[in-house]
Amino acid sequence: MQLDKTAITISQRSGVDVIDLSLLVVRRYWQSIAFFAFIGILPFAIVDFVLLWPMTQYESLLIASRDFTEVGVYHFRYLCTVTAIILIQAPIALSPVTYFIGQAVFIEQPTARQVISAVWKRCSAIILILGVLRLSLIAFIPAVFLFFDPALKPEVEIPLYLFCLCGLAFCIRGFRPFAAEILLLERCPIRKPKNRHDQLAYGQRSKWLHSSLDLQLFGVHIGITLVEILTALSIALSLVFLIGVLTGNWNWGIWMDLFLFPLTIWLVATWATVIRFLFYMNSRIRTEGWEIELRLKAEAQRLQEVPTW
Amino acid sequence: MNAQNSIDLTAVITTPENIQFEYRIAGPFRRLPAFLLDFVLRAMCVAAFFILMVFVGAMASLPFGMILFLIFLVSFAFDWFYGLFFESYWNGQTPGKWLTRIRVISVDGRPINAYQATVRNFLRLADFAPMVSFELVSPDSPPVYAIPTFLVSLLCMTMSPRFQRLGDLAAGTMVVVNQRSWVPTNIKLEDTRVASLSELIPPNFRMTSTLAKAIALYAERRSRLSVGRRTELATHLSKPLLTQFGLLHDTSPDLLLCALYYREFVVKDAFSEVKRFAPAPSSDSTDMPANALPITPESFPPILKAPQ
Repeated sequence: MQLDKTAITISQRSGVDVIDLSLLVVRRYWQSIAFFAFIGILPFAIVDFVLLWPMTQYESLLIASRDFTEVGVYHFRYLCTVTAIILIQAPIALSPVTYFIGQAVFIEQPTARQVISAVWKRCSAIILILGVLRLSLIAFIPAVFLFFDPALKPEVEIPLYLFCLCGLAFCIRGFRPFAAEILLLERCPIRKPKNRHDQLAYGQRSKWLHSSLDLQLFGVHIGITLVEILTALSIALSLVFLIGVLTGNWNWGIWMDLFLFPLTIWLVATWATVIRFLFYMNSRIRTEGWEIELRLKAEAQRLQEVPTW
Repeated sequence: MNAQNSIDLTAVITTPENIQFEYRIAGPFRRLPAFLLDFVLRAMCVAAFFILMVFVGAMASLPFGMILFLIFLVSFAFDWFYGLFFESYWNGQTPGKWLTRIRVISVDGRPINAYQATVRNFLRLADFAPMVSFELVSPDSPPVYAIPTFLVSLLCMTMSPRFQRLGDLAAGTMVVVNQRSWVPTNIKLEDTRVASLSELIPPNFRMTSTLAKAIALYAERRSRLSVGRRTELATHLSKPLLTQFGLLHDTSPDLLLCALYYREFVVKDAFSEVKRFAPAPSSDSTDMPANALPITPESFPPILKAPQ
């Protein structure tokens, strides 16, 4: 691996430039990104589909309810729930994409086996940090409750699911966005090994990387979320248009609810993973002089190989 | 590094004289604020004209139909000729683009002409596609397909290496960032030990261009890094260099890299200026500066030790 030979030019960029650059990265690696995203997303998408299916039975929910007599209310609630659950689950589901992009920067093209094996090796840390502490797997709990009792209960859903679960996940991710990169790419252990003093534990590394950029990262997170929402809306509305042209049905139908809308959110979440990785690179360049480190390490390697004098 | 293969927001244009220019391309999200600013500005102009016409209409007793016609006419003119006018006469910039420091240029690097401005602005509507109906938002609304999704534009820009939308592809234009020319900063190395350490570097040591770039980058950015991080970074390179130079291994890594920078970029430049006016050296002269110390570990001053 030649550290200063990178697939993405390592330099400090502004926020909008990073988002623009992510489009070029997606264009270059779209096949691999789509493949690894598919591998990661598939189990989550199937479970979500099964668990949220009862929420799409709008007519029966309407008949059973006395308070809410508009189908639109149930429809809106389903779309919000799907969006929230997918966005909370995205970091863990898209771990293979994170690992792949991290390797692709150094012009390494890992095979599917290598990516899955690398993610599998970090499985326990990923489940603990991303799944439990960052609520990605906890997001299944309200989905299970909604599967058994899909009746609309705003007094439970708004404070508990929306504010507690989604709000907490949003804030954690806003202030400490690069957990997946620290675990998968830097391979930081959860606890500091006793025999290695130079190895940082996950917590220390996360604190070191994030603490100097706290508010800035949160601002960026809000900006990216807005961009994601607008892009998701753009794709979803375009799909409605496409279905209208192909089938003559110009309404937002059940196909949109069950398949195309979740697909849109997963697409946007995959793109957001690429954006997050590029912001991770940018943060390391800004705070740690990462591009200098790569260049100096590469020069040191060259000096050790061939004496220059 | 192969700039052609490395993903970056730059476009390289080679002139017929084989001179290369590098432009930073503006992607869709850098262009979005300019688009919104122009939209707001146009809307404000139309609104101002509307208010003006209401007053004029009331004072001159103009028929309401005529006022409405004039307002529609002005609105149409603003929508279709605003971009065309500004980009043609303002060197590829509209007020929104000027505020966000971006500019439209031809793909060959020349300023755009009126024809290109016309084509790219008249095709703007195609970039809004697909449009969806208001009925989707509210079923009682008329079936007017006027909500833009911009997906065609986004996909087109993503697939184009220069982030060109349909209008840009048709007109042969691209949007670039107005870069301020980068002036290399005069890096001040205030530590007096740097000069003395630079004299201990073997005079026959020649830096490769990549090494010189790496050292220059380090010297430029080191002031923004913590002392600990500087040492950590510099250690990567100082370890093999100290062995090669035969210097003491507890020499400060940061200081060594600064000394290399000083020798390569400060002393060398000054020396070459002196050499231009100096008589030719005799055959037995060496590259060693006259005041250089002999390179022995004993000759190292204690100040070169790494801070504890």
